Amino acid sequence: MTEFKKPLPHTNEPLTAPYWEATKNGELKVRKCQSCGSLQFPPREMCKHCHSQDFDWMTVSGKATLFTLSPALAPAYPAFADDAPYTIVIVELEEGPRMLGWAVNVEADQLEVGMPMQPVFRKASDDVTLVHWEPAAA
Amino acid sequence: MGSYSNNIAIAGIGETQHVRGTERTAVSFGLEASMNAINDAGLKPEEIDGIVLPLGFHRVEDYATGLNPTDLKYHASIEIGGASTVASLQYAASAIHSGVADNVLVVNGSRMFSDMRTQTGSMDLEDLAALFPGSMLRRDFEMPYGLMLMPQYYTMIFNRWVRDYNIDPDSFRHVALAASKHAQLNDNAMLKGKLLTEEKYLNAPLLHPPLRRFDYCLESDGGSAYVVTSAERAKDLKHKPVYVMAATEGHPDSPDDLSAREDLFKTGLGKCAKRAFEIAGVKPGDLEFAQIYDCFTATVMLQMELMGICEMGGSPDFVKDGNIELGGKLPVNTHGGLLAECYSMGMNHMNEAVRQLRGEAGKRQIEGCSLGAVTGWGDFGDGALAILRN
Repeated sequence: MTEFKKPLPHTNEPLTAPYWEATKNGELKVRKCQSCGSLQFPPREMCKHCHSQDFDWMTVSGKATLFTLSPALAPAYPAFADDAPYTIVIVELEEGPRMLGWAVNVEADQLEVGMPMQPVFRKASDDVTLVHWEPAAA
Repeated sequence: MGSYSNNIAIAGIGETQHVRGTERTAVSFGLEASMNAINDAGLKPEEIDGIVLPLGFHRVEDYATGLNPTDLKYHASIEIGGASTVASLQYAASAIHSGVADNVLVVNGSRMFSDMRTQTGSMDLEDLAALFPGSMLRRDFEMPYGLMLMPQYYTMIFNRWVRDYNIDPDSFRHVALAASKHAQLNDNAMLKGKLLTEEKYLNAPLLHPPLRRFDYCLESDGGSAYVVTSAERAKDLKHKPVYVMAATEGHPDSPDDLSAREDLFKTGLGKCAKRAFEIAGVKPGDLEFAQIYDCFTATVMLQMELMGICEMGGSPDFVKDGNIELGGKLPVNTHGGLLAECYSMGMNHMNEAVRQLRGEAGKRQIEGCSLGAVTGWGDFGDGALAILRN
């Protein structure tokens, strides 16, 4: 019987490596356009506002609000069988960009769009720390 | 030269039987459907001089080898997910209108049942990521969180829609029930003889809230095709021509990333529907039917709002009371759609639209119908709209 492994991100992609380096240290980073100052996440080649390809990385506070949710009652892939049911959330950082992870330390029916959220860092391997989201105090 | 509008016609349509499980290749189904469509148009395979392939599953050589056209002058590969099948009409129309080709085949053959069931773990995830636009995002920022199925992405939109517009998910059932009713009148529908009742719908579980099991479309293996020519040429061929008033495609902002999309409702369909109605010179209220891409019931309702059949938030009222059934205000998916006929990703919607406008829809025929639309919806919100008349 095939053993299904959870897929992990490639952390050696130059475009995204600094994000994964930061999560290992419990830090959240997004990209900042050096031309117009817009913030960008996830990292893409070009700033869609001014079309510059010149970016730097910036640490964000982790303060966010719930933007939308996608509950999965059954695992999307066999490796997630023990985690199901799980709810994927998109949160909006107070600085603007959005991020995606699981809603943790909360029941799915307690989730409300707009509620304050904060990150929860969970080590998945030596190289990878994933970022989930839990309700924060207002 | 002027616009292609009303100068292009769909002259032939073809299908295969749609099945769950097969030893045949996907191209085999596509070729069978192609021959059916080419024969239906009164043409011969060697006369095909353009091939448009929606969905990116195959290459033109896969079809040209068997069909053996004398001189293939044009081909295009359209890769915007489910919207590709309807968007392909735009490519066929512009090739013909600009004089590049005369007889263009649009064909899909696929094994969405036999090959694409990711929940079983039968697909390599890196292969799966490669099938999507924004592959690296999928692989690195989404799959690690167990996010990889289309319903998971779409409920991100639906859950905001439900909240922002006060949508009652109890209304989704009307789309499923109507589709099933229509399928009973369709000999090629996989769910003919398996009428969905309200009880069966409600007893089936929620899978990705707010979606229940019967809010999801079918999975099937099969082929569908249509042949496009100039309006002039079509007059001399087998069937009453079906004229293309408009064929448009649209792309959402942040096209491959829902998380970074500022307004989740700013989708491709909203953008291209506006253009299509302007090009065609008609309004949503003029339509006598709408074949609407129905990967999920909720997708149908959201598209109705986005294309202006009703206002934003107005679809729950619109879909009840038999309004979207044959005999109702605006019949939707008269063939049963993806929910109840087969999963040929919108090719079947185009073919049913043509049948209605030819007067060849049999028990499903809308009396005297002369104008209708076909939508496409794909990937993270790509869209297409074709407006057709007889």
